[in-house]
Amino acid sequence: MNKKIPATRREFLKTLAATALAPSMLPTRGEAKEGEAHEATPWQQPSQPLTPSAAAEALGELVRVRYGQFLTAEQLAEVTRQIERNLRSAERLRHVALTNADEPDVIFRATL
Amino acid sequence: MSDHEIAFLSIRELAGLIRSRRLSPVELTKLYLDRLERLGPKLGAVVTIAHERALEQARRAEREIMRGRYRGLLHGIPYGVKDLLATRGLPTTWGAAPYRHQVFDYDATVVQRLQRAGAILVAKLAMVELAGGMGYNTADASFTGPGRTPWNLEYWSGGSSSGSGAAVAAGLVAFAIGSETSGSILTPAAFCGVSGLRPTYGLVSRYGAMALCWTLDKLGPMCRTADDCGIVLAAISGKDPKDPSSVARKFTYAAPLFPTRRLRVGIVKGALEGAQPEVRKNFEEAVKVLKRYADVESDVALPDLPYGPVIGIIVNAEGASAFRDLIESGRLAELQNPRDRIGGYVGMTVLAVDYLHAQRVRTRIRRALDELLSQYDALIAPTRATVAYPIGVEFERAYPGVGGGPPLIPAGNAAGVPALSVPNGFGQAGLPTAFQLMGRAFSEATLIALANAYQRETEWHRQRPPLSA
Repeated sequence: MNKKIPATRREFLKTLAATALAPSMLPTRGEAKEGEAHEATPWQQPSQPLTPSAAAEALGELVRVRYGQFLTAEQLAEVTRQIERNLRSAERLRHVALTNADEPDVIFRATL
Repeated sequence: MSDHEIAFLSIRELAGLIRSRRLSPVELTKLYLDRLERLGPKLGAVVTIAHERALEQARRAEREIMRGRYRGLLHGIPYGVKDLLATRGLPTTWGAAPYRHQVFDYDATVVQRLQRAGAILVAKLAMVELAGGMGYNTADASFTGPGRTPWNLEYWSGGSSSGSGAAVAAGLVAFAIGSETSGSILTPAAFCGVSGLRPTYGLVSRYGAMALCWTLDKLGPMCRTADDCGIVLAAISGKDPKDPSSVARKFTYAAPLFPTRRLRVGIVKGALEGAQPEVRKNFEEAVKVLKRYADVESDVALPDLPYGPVIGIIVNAEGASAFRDLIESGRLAELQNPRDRIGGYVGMTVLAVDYLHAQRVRTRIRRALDELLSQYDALIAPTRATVAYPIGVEFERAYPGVGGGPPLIPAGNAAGVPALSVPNGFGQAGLPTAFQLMGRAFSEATLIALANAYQRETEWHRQRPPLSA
């Protein structure tokens, strides 16, 4: 059963405003442990209780605004928890020191 | 020789019989078609059986061979493909309900190349919906139901190349093609007790394959022996102008390769941590065999880099882009697994800067891993820390407290290097265990040679599941 959640511009902006504080609120170590990554689909993580950060809440709100008509409240809550996991994974990458010279592993070519 | 015995012969053994005209490709094709019909449903391994196309190709192969025009080891050999490869006129469902009526009007490059080699396509094989890219966590994540390992039907055949693994293990095809973004060939190979090869990224064209993740997807063979993997890889590898990621390198393989010098092998540090006791014991026994061919060094540490998070962010972002239409249409709701129904929305929120950061870290991973792998012919570890997961149980709850170990699968996939999984015994519930050999980019020949030596000395790859018709 789908419980539709109406999007209001005010609520959305309020959550986005909180996002500005988000980077410093993220934990320095995320939940994506290497051992867990040894799964059939390494990107999936066990369901554990997670308290979504403000950044996760804001991105969850973006999902609600754009795709809320397809999702139940329960699904939206799970989406937000999974977003939190993603953000923690992203935070872990920041522990690898990169310089301006470190290019991404995706090379653009001018020729076809 | 009985039909049952023939069904389980290796490609090389079948080829010997076909070339010498002691086995008819038409009869062999009928034998596999019959097994696919009878046993395929029990395993949840088959989406479409290609009766007409298969028999037409088989008759052509037979005519050619009778006229003395033998194309090579795959001529007249029936095979199946994971149902993410386009095949002209047949449904290509990607394992997902929204695509169950999808039909392409062309063949994927891999299918074309196998046809050129004379192989006979007999079936499109079941797979996890969208190759698992939406984050599934149960065995039934496919519109065809759960894939079952023929060793114990209460257990999963692995994913996402579920049907490819089960069909090879149960003698429904002589070999199969699977795909791997991160673990989708190696895992079903291990859970089904077959040999599975993940080639170097770019060695095999992906033209005509469902895209989940452009910078990670690979296609590779799943066979009864490592030697067979070499035979199939030789047929499907090489540059393809239709796939810009394919590289101008051809893998050649004809006679079985064996080590021509003493090799150097490293056991990945922590390889046995968290592994089930049988997995550990079988791995230690395998190492004893490998020591006849290689100097084996223990506790080789992988560079300390965030392999899992890198893979996770890249798959989330590229997968969301690849399936944006599906996600934005709301049709993810038609997927089988509850987590798959929301995974795409999570992927839509990956920040571009985080995706690029992951790709920048990946460059580091590639360099660091190459530096390590350049010191060894292969690194080894159990392919999986456990045997197959029970069906009906969420993966993370299947074996509480067991699992983990070094992240060799995400590390190897992030770096794009090859790996080969071969069976090495049995564990709980009569289920197979396996170990993997991982090497430097384009070191497939070395991995196959060492695995061939292992399989020459052992009989694990010759064991047959108790599945009856």
